[in-house]
Amino acid sequence: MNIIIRSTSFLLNGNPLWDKLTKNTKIDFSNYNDLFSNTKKKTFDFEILLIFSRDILDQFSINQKNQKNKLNKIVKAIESRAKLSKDTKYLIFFSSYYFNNLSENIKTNLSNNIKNFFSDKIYKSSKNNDNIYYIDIDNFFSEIGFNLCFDNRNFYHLRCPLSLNGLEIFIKTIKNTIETICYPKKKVLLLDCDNTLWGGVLGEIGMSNLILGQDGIGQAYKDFQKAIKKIKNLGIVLVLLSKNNEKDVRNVLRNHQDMILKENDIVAFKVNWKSKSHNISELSKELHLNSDSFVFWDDNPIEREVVKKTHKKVEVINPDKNVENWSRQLLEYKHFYKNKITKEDKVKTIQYQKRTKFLKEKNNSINEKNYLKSINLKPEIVSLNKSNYLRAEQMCGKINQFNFSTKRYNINQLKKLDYCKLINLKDIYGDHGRVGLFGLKVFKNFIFVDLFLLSCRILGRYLENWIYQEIVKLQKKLKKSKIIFEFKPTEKNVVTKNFIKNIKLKKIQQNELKKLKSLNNFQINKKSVYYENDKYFKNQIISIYEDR
Amino acid sequence: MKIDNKKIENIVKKIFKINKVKNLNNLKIGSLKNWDSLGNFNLLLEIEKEFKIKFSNMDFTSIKSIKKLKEILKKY
Repeated sequence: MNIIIRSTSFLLNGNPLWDKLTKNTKIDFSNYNDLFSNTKKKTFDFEILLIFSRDILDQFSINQKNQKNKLNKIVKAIESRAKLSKDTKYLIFFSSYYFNNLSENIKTNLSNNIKNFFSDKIYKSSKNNDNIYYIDIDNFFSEIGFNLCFDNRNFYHLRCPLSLNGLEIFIKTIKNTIETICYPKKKVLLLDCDNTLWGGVLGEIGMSNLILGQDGIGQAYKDFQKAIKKIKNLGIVLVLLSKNNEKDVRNVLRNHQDMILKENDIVAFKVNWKSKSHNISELSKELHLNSDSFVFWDDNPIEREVVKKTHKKVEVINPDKNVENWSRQLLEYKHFYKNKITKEDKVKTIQYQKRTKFLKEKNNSINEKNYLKSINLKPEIVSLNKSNYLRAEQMCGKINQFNFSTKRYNINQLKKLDYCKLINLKDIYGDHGRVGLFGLKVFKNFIFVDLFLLSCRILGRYLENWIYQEIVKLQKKLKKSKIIFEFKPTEKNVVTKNFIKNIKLKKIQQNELKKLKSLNNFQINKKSVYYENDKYFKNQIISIYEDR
Repeated sequence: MKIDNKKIENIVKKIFKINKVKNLNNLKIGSLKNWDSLGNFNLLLEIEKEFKIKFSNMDFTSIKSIKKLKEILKKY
């Protein structure tokens, strides 16, 4: 990773504190007070700007208009840089602390005004530019106090307004911000009930004696539930994983007046007397999700140890020993952070609930094909447009199980494809939204399938076969002799491999590949396997989509 | 203050990123690769942190060698 630090002040490069940022990271420092100039170096993964308002504004001036003009220029410059190199992430830190001037606070609140002005502007540009992030670093300094973080001696001698304490906090915040943005995202939160959602053991003390909502720790449990609900609304799926009677727990969710979480917030109830590891294995199958997208929260250290041993990929949280701190601990958990929230995220719980219902009914039906016909599947092909850019990019970024090439294209790369379509699906379980995507490049003699991916919550409906047929239709329309698929085997895309077998794709041999290589614009990926379609394959299962 | 030579040596190693220190007492600004004016500041800040003191303005600007550092540290 490459990082450059730029600031209006001097930030003591070479100080050992900087070694704490990351081990394998190369850090560059721009020249003093150089926020924008180009460096000789290649591009950076992160450009970090720390702006001290005292460096650019005249603290002793009362002419605000002039001050705002200066800030405006900086925001504009950040914006245009961010537009130029979209792969670089710009973290903008702003501090307006100088000294608390009581008379100023009473009358005009000048320094706050300046900060609000800047943050309004920069938030606006971060909405339009995905690679701009704004952090009000004063919030972090204030946690230990400005007097400890700033040092006027350092300012006048070194042009560094921060003390070592302040510098340490700044570096820690950069580190946390980068981790929050970069850490792989988790999808499911597994929650224990007793002494986790509420205080006390339900089976022993009964619903009316649970510690929940009362002053003191009861409020802390309630706030923890509020935090969980917030996480859920960001698109994280909730599962209860508790040794209890399901009936009793459902009763609490329905009838306890201080419960924030309700039955319809929960995608699956694994509330029974089986071991938690058994339940996790079952759940992973039911939700079609790898256990590495699971996060486990349980107050009981013994349960935590068992899960750690049996499911190494599940992230096991060690809850703080004080319940009072849990809501913060949960909200700060880096793997749940989302930079962008799509429509699909907001209804994620409902979608997974539909999925569990679908799987149950499908497994109970005697004839799978008749059953699938009966649920009235309605797929639809949607072109890329502004309203779905975000979703398209998100799907490329995170879908693993049904994904041919696992190429993580961003929106600009998607737009460059000859064909890039999203698939929408409806059936009697509701509108599943945009669940699939394929991207094609058209060559003289063949169609190349660069992207082909499907959300795992939709699997089991043979939508992949339907999409395949649509690509075949296009092949006939464009009169191409074949379709070529790129498949990059990963640890997770076994489902895709099975599909390749089912539709009888044929592997392209080395000598054939060499011919492809010589074509313009055709890049061979060494880790990938290339396939072509079988002309004689009859894609019979798609009758579930047609014979109605 | 009593001078802890070992402690100073360790700080010098840490700040200037070296494994061994020869003739600690003769070191001064310019005698190590990273000991320039910026390195000097980093050294003084680290000394302040480790010895839990704060140099006066005068002292802060006058320390440019280990000899001087030790001499001034005695005052605190």
